Amino acid sequence: MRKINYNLAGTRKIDGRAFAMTVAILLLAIVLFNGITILNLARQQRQNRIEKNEIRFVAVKLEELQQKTLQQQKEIDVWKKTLEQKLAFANLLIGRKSFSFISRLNFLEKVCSVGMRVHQLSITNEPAGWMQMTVSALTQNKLLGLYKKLLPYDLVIANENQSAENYQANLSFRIKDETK
Amino acid sequence: MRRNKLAVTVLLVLLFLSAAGCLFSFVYIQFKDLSRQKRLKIFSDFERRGKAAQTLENEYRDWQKLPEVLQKFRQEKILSMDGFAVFRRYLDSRLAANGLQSARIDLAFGSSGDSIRKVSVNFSLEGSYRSVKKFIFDMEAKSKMYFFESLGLSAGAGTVKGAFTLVVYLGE
Repeated sequence: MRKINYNLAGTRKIDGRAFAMTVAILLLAIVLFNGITILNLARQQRQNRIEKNEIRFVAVKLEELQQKTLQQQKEIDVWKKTLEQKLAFANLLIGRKSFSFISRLNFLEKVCSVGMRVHQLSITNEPAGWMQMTVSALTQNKLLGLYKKLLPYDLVIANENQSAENYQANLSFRIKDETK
Repeated sequence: MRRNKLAVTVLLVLLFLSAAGCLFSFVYIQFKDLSRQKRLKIFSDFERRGKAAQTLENEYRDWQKLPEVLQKFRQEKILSMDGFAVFRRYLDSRLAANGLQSARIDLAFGSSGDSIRKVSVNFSLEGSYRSVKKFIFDMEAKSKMYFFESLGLSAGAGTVKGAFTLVVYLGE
């Protein structure tokens, strides 16, 4: 025969196991959330501390750098005032010393072919490096060939005279030091 | 029963607060990440300034060395009066060695600036092109501070006539 149980309590009977399970899950979730929060904040705090130290270090270094730079700039300005003229003069002398007449003569020997004659040549030691010359050739083609070779050197043809089997021209051109 | 309800309610409130706190911690981290960009900017600015300072440092060192370099240049390259005597002997020896002779050599002493005096040496020569060229080569080869300022060559019958201006810098 089946046994009948009656609940005479004023409220519903609680399932103790289910309740304990729910409480345990809630507690676990609370612990988990709090754990994550503490971990995040602790990590962030550590990071903040490191950054703060780094920034402080950089700020100090930056300040030192600025002081040093200012000091160096001041000293450079003083040197510039006193030494710039001497430096410019020394560089001018070096530039003029490195001007090579020999390399210009070699160049002329290379561009003037057989059947040509240089009558006059004038070279001045200056940065522009202009050379003037009077040259004659037996044929017009030879003279034109010379013009062609000298075209890259800012060739200026002052005049050209033609007499019996002789073509003479006054030319100027310049060879800059770097193209020697 | 009521006590159980209360306990569950408290736990739910705690759970809500914990979840909110957790969410806040993530938002806070994100916010800090954004502000890290600012920190990176400070670092890159520091790096940029560091490079500029390094460039200036190099320039500073160059300027620092300059007086010594100029002094050395002056001692090694600019002729003293004794050096000038050596130069004149050298000029004569190079002319002789190349079979050239100058009828006249004119020296013009310029005014002194910064204890350096410019001396122009003018002379004319006549000889074979080869000899004249060799003479120019010999004079150019020396590292002391003298050099040709100008030269004019004209072709003669089998020879070349040359008018030269050599410049010498004399230190006092």
